[in-house]
Amino acid sequence: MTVRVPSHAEVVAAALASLSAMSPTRLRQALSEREPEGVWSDISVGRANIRQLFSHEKFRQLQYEVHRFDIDSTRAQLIAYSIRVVTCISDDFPAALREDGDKPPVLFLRGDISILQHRMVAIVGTRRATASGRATATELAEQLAAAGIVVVSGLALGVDTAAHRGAMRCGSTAAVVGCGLDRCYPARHQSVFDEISERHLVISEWPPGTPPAPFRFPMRNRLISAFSEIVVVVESGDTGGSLITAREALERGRTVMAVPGSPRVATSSGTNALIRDGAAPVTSVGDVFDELGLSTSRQPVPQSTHRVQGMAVEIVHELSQESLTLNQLVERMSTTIGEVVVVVSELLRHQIITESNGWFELSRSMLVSGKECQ
Amino acid sequence: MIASVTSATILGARGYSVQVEVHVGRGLPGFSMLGLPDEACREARDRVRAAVLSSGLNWPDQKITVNLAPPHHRKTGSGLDLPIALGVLMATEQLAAECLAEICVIGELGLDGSIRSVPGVAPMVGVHPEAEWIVPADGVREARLVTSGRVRSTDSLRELVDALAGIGGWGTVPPSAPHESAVDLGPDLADVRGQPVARFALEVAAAGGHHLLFIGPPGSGKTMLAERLPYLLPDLPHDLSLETTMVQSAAGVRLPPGGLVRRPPFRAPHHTSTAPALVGGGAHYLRPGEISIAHGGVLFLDEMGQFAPAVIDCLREALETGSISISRAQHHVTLPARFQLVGATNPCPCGEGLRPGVCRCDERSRRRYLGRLSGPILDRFDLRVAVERSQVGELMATEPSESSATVAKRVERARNLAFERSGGTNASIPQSEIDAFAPLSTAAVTRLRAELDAGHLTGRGLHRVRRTARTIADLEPTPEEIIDERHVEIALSLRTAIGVERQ
Repeated sequence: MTVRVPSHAEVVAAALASLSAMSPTRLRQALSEREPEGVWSDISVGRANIRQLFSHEKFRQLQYEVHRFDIDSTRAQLIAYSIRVVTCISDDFPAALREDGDKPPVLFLRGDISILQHRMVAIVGTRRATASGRATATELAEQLAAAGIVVVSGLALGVDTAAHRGAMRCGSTAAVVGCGLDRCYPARHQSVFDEISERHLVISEWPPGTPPAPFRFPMRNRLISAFSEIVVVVESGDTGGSLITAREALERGRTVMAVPGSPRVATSSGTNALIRDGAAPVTSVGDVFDELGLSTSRQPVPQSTHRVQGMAVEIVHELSQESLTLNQLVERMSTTIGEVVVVVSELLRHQIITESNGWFELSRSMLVSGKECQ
Repeated sequence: MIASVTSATILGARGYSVQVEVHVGRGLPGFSMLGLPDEACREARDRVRAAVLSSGLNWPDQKITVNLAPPHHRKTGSGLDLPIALGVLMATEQLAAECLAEICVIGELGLDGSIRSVPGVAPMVGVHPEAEWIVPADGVREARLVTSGRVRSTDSLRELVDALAGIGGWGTVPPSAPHESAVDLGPDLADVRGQPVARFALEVAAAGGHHLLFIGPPGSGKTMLAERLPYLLPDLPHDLSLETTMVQSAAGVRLPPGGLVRRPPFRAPHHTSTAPALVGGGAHYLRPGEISIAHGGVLFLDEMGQFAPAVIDCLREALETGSISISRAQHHVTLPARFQLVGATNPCPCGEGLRPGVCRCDERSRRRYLGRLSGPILDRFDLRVAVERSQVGELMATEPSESSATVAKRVERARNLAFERSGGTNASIPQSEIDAFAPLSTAAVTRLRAELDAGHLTGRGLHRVRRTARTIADLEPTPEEIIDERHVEIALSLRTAIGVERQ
């Protein structure tokens, strides 16, 4: 593996973003006039053009920080994690963000930056996803990725990770995170993070060393919506980060699509509300392709590897409404445990349903067909 | 003058013989007691003096020395009051020495001279099972269970002195009440609406002696179900019944009117219980804990995740061996503790039952919550059943559910079947004999192998599933000796994996 040595401009840009007295807005203003090195030396010597952007107190603090700054350790960090830095005025800055009123002054990237050249679709949703929500996200991501679309998401638990996994299986994905690129949050996703940062792309507007914090996640959601042409919300409750992403997307004129669900399922209340308010429903991946202006020659064909018969039909029907325990299934079938258990076990074996913590759910979404990956 | 009275004291659930020696002689008037009496025992001095005086008897103005032999052994409780009083009376010749020859005495005294009951009469009397005993009136029935000698009582010290001198009568004890029927007036399973799987799990637990864990949100009826388990179980066999009586007596639990504990006990300690309260202990007395009081019956731990993890882990030894050994610097006792464990827990802090998409808990707090139940303990549960709140329709249903009496009949039949086969319950089939007692059909073997291959089942889990399947097969209307795939399938489904996804 060749080690990429960042240019001095990159290191200084990273250093500027690390200053605690520097706000993104001020930095954006400063960078629109001067190169990063210029801004740095302007602060250092206290030139009027930069001094006027700050209050007296703030500027003294800024100068103090600049004078004490250990720029070598920043360089070492960028090298160690092979992080690339782009400023909002550089040519590498993603085109999708260039016109954005709230664009980050500096972006940190890790992985394959050619991914930024492709069309992007965001798949987001709740962390507390149901099995069917996760399956839907995975299958949507697989098919979009297979068609050459980059799937953007936030590397959170639940829907986000399901989307990343699906996309990695069939194509490319990009993860936008709310902390420095030197760490993985949530820590449990280290393996997914490693894979994305090596072969795909991880994006952050925060310098290395930044810990995750609640206020950074809405900002990350803003970035997700800014990158994507379409934001698909797979599952969401009444309140949730994915609804923030959807709102940000609408403000930027992006298309918001949502996967409809049963009104009895709490994780579908957010997506159903989006559809009521005008978001386009996703009834199959074809709807997303249509929205992207891509033709879908292959129409989704319902996949059935296993013929469902007899009581199994009723069970699948009940589970398509809501998730149930064995107890509830036995009651609804009004028969003995023995008979229900045999059918349920067969459905589990064919992966038509899943069980977690005693609750049964439908695992195969009836929504998206299982298109093969290339 | 010197006098000696035979009595007993208690340590753990066992009695120890104590010889109470009283010397009354010249010297500065006073009262000293030797032989490691504990605080309650030492206070006998003042109780005895007041009781003797209020009974119209004389208290000697002399030096009184009481020795409790053997002297190295700590004496606890107030049961030695009466022997000390009688000793003083004999030593001062207010009572003829031969009156108490070959008679053992226990009892506490009130200041007015009344004789009061003490805990642990049965184990204490059991120390001299052929002797004649004088015990408090409340303890006569339980004393008669363990001694072949005569057991008598009076209500007060005065009456006792007169009766011993032959000038007064003994107290009478009404004949013991006839034994109540097996399913007495306990809560009935018919009150539980819906919950077919949980009810079935309860039936399997009762029939096979399997430990059972209910996982579900508050208000889903976990406690209601668990409380009904003892009423599905048959009466205790005589020797077990006697053991349970001894332990309960030693722990000061109120015994049934007949004196003998015939029904399996049900104990539900609160989750703030300390380890000594649960497994037994204390500095000197070594009182039996809840697990020993539940000997032969059901120990129900509600909100199991809220118990201190160290307390729960104390249960492991008892679950393994059916008894618990407690050691202190001075003593070592082994208490019986063969109980059926029924646990109930919320699956997560929010209590929504891990219902997908509804539960608001994040992964970490869920794991921390269930992590409080250590793996080894979770593994002891053959049956783990998710329960959820009943729906309105079920609550309002007019059709009554099956009653405890009906289920108890099936349970008894299955238990008898298991007993004839292996001499115990199905849950206690030893691993070495599982092939002999729980043979599998070919289809059942295939099913279990698939489950093992998929990594859903461990070796230990396999044996537990086989034992449960054995019980399920025994509960069939026409039980077969060979366990079928269906039985295995049900056994697997009654063993919900927590925190793992099964596909």
